[in-house]
Amino acid sequence: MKKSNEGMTITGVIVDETVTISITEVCHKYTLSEEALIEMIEHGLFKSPIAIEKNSQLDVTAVRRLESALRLQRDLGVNVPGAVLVLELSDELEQLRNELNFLRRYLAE
Amino acid sequence: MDKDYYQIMGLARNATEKDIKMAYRKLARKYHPDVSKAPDAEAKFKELGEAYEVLKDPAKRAAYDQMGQYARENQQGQHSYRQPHHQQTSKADFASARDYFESLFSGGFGAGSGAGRFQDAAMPGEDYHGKITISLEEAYQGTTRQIQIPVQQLNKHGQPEVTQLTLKVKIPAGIKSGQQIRLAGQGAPGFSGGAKGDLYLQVQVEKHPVFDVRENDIYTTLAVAPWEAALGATIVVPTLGGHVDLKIPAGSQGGQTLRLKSRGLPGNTPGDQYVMLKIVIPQPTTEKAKALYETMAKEMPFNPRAKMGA
Repeated sequence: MKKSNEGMTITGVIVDETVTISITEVCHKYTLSEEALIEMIEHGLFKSPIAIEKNSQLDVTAVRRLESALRLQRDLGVNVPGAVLVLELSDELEQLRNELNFLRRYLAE
Repeated sequence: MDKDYYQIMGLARNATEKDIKMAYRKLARKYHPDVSKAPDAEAKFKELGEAYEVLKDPAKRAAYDQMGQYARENQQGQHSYRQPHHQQTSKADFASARDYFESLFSGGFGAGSGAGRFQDAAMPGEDYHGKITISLEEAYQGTTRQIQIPVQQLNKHGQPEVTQLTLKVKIPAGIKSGQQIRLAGQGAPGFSGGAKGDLYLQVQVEKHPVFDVRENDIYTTLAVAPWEAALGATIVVPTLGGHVDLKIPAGSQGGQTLRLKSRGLPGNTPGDQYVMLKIVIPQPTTEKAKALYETMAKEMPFNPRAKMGA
């Protein structure tokens, strides 16, 4: 392998968060049956509703959320509604933490 | 190699199988990277997985107990959190580059893992995934960082060998915490003529002492004197793009929020900066100051507790 990269500056490209991926591709990528994905969608996994059609598209945020849900199911043994609940409570917690941090700082200053 | 699996799991040496299972479940919930927001959650979760892999298996546990430590080489890649293939990309080396490159790993975590690539005859190389931490100023202005990535190559004896390659990476302005940047062609080499994989860096933006960030918007607290709030004033406010003048309207109260349009993070729709006013009183340290407060009390009848009905 060449060492030609040494000292060279490589410009990173922000991964385009508007890129979407079809439901069919998502299922292929995560070896997930369409029924399983539809079940997750029907349990309200995604914040914005996604129509369940062959050509429906998921954006990067949705794919990340799906990955989280799959990991939670695999690692903690929760089922689909359980994983969705964890994610929703985590969102809420994060929002509250942000607000709390800001208010704490406001009070301390 | 000298990790104490019992300590990791918070267990005594004589823990029963049931204790081990219960400790694992509890800690797995605590440190799961999709649940915990602690920065080291991922490492902790991985460590926990390793410990459990050994302790849950009576044979492995006995061997571990006997040796005092277990030869972890036999263990590598077996825990399910990461995809097992391709683990040998020298995790140990990443620690040496910790300043710039907290962790580099392949597959499994984060979008765009190489796992789902199409199975053409010529296989493209795996994508690498790593994390990089930058300051909020760097995120605002863009920055160049040096990172080190492990590269596997053949040495003069024809054996594979891992060396560090230093890359200078330009991170574009306006990046937000959690976003990824892609470095095309900096992943693992492809197979049978396949293209090299890409390197993905997930960017983490450090907490800032003055500014809070939410999405594209910046939040900050601005201390003002009582007369500035009462009479109105033009105050110099720090923003990421430098100082700007902010006009405080007369009769402002503490807790009120003012908006500086487009002074947040850059982007297609640039964010705003929100400034929350905080009224700070000067301490009446002199007789004259005390007299002024007394005059105010006399001249400006005011019940700040009117809402309480008191």
